[in-house]
Amino acid sequence: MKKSLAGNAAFIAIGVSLGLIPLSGYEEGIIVLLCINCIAAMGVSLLTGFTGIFTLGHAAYMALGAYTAAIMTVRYGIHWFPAIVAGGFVAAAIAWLIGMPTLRLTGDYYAIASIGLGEAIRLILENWQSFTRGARGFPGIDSYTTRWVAVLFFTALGTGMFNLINSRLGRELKASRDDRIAASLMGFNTPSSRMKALLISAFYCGISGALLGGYMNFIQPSMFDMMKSTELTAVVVFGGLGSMSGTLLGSAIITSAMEYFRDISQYRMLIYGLMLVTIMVVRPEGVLGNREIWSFLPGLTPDRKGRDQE
Amino acid sequence: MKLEKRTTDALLMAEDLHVSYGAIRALQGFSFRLQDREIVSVIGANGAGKSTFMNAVMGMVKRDRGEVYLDGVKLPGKSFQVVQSGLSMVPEGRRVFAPLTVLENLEIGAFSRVARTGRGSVRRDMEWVFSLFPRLKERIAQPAGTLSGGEQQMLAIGRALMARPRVLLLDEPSLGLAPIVIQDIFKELRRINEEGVSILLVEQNARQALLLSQRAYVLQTGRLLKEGPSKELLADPEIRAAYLGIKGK
Repeated sequence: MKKSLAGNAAFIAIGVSLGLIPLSGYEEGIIVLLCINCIAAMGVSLLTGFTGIFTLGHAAYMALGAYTAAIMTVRYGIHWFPAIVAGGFVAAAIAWLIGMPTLRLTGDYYAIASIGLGEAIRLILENWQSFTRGARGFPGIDSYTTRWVAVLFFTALGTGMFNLINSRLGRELKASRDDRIAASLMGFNTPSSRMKALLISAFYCGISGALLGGYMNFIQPSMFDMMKSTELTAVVVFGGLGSMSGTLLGSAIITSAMEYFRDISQYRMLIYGLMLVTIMVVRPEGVLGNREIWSFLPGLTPDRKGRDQE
Repeated sequence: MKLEKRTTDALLMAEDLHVSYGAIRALQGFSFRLQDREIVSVIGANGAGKSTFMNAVMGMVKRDRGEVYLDGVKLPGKSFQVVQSGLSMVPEGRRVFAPLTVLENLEIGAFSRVARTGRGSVRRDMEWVFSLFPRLKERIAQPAGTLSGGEQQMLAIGRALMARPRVLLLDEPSLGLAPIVIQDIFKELRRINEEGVSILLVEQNARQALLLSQRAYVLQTGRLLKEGPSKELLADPEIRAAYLGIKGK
């Protein structure tokens, strides 16, 4: 109990300091981008790292969130806040439709289905000219994603996520990741908890996409292609499957590295590839493996049940 | 949930079970009953439909036809509901949660009944499991993945018992274990049964299964070949030749 309270306090403190530290405009932009990437990465981490459902199509949910928020604010003049939240819900609703048939698949089969469906969503957005303006992109989105909006969403969703993975649902997800058959024999309703994980992860990606639209002022379907989906999953693997703080760390490292090497433009991708290969060789379980960052702190050894007995 | 009552003296009863995987008909009309406090085994060769039968009872595979009744009440179709209504299964290959400790594995086993019985008795049941398998107590803080095969099987049985089942179902508990470990485990199964848990056992190791159980069913390609008291089946020349590898006499 106490531990989760301390965790929540620490997370909110990070949020407040991210929101208050005086920064130049450029640095502020990096913080906003970081928050946006972290929100999407947390969603993917819940599904891939904690539930064991490997996805390669989650950029599509970002696209759905981005287009929902953009169309609502620009065409209908709705305030940005409900528009962003609606972006999350639209993404989750589509995820539900997609999840009904596809969540029966496991392992590689789901990954392949997710590639196809992700691309399908992107292509629909690209060809539905009258509604989305197609490949020309959707311009004129208000800059509603200021630093405090991004930090606010990041802090709220981050706190929610850390509480979720320690909740009963979180444990059910981990059980069904480790062994789906054993989990259902323990009395867990695994299909239902897998669906919940998908909906929540799509919601996070939808919010992230909606924020991205408000930050860039312009969105186009090609921003949410397979490259983006792969990047989301790569960040999660980089940080460590089954570690939420690892996901944030991985996302922070990769986002900042990409910013740092902005000067060398497309050669950045070499650095990106090098980082992924290095981590795979040196530490295949990811930066933090499946542990959370505080379990590395001295004096705070994980309180594994059983150690206190006899 | 609408419950369909049926008067019967059997604790667990299956009627006319049919299961198919695509065009393959794995189970073609198998009926079965288990009395309270009885040990019943289902034996048969590879592909006879033994595991399919058990999975059909637990709701792990879809039944084409047939129903299963526990105490005359129709069992639900989803496995997590079946577990909550009092059946607990030790799956083939043990399937313990490798990264979790022995204690955590036992705790997770109690999950399905905590809502029903409260947390209070979890500790007591755990002591019972430890009295059956003292080895588990020695390894209480060890990750389950580091246990030997026999110990993992003990843990899987202990975990299933933590759900306080009325019927314990075991799918090939002897798989991949040394004969001496098998004997140990089967001895404890008898003790578990004496304490009031009915047992349904599916085995390829026909000899051990027949020695433990009171009655047995012999499956062949999805159909019942024979059924009867285990002692009689042990003496049956046909069974001896086909499943026990003993010819003549």
